[in-house]
Amino acid sequence: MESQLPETNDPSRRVEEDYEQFFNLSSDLLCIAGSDGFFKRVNPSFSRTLGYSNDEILAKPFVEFVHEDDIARTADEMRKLVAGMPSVQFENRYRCKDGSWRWLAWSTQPFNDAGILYAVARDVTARKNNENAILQLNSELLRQTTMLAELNEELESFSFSVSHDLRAPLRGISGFAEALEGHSAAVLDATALGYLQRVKNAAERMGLLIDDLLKLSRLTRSELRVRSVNLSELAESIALTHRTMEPDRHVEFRIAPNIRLDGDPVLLEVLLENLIGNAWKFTSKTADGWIEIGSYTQEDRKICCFVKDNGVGFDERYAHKLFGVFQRLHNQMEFPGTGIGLATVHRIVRRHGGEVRAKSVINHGATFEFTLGLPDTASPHEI
Amino acid sequence: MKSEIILLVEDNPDDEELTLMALEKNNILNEVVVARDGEAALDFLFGTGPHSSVSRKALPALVLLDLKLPKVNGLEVLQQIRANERTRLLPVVILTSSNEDKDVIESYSLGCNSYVRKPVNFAMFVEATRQLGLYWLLLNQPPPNPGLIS
Repeated sequence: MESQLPETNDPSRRVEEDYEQFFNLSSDLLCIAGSDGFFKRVNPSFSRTLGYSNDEILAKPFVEFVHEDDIARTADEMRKLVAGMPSVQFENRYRCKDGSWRWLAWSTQPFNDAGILYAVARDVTARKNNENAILQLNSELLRQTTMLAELNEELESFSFSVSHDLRAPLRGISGFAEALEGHSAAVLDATALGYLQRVKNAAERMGLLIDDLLKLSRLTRSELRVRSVNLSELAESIALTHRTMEPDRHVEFRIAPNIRLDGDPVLLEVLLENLIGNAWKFTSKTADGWIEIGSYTQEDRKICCFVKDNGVGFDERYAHKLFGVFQRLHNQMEFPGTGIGLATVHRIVRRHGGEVRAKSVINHGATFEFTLGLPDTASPHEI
Repeated sequence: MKSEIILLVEDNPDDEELTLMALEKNNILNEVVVARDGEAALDFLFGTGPHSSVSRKALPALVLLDLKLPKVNGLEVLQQIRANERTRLLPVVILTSSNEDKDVIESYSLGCNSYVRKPVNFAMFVEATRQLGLYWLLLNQPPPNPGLIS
């Protein structure tokens, strides 16, 4: 046995032994191949990675281990080696004994004069699989982006046709009902005229619904432009508008000064308009109506704003329906509306990453509270 | 009212009828020429197509232009009106169902003089027509008609 041979002091023998150690230790796949197309020697890592015995690997031409789709490229690479050019970073698939495939990345010296080549391969299967997964994810992402862009375009053209195509027939209905009324008022009785009035009212109401629906769809399409917004000032100006429009009503506005939030000024104005407009509407049958706009800091340190009134309120059992499109908790005769206002509020708050909730007791007013997900500006550093 | 022509570019027969009714209700008795698509409007203004034999010196006093039209749409009509030396100063009022920002911005960019969204309610539509007629046919000082001064 070799190990029992006396230790040699021959330096060339020592070097050979060192090399042998490395050859056996390497986790890379090391091999020596001949110009006849057969492996002459492979290291243990080589047979271990592919799952063959040493003899099985040496028994057939190496090209037989190569994946069918990689054979042409491998042959090209071999021709380079025969021509004396080294090969680096060449990758192909080898078949394992269990039928699976491993990706190997090769560094190979060209054939020497004795028709022998030395090659080192690294198992890069994991990296290859990752690369493929990334490529697949990318193409999937691309597909979804394209789909989204198409959907958006569809939405655009949908809202155009809502605004144009659906309104045109309504004008016809309203207009010709009016024309009929003008033309035949003398021969129509009160019932018939009443029906005509209903036709006109219905057409007008549908016009309002379409307009509100369009406004809602625009909210989702426009880009969010975030700034520090003074809600108190916005509320004051909205309150003034209501007072000017209906000077006969006496509603007390209690607006806390300097409520500031980070958000899109246009959207926040729409939000407040809807909440204050609702409060204004639902206090219309309350003797000493008041509307309060204020804010407080929540436990999670977010600023919560609220619009509170002492109007008719709503039945909390239906609170979950409040924020849906076209959902109404009061009938048209009591309080007119399209049922878009709170859906709009909900959408604006959600676009800011915030939350909105409503509390009420019938005939004892309602409170709408909202937070915005964006960090507030009222940080101590700003003073 | 003066006997100047109003060019109404409108493809929807209901809207055409309603506009004519609204004009009549307001005693706007100008001759109304109706073009039912963009191409017909341009033919009328430029004396091309079926109008090529008619030598028209006078331009309409006002163009009421719908946006969504067959063949040549309203924006293209507007663009061509503004690009032509003879018609570039013509008062053009966009009268449409759309209030999409995109349409409003493009119409003004191409040089419309006014943009009016047709109300659904007929009484409001009549009122809008009255104000348009009053403003554009009486109050507003139109540009000199190149057909008449040349």
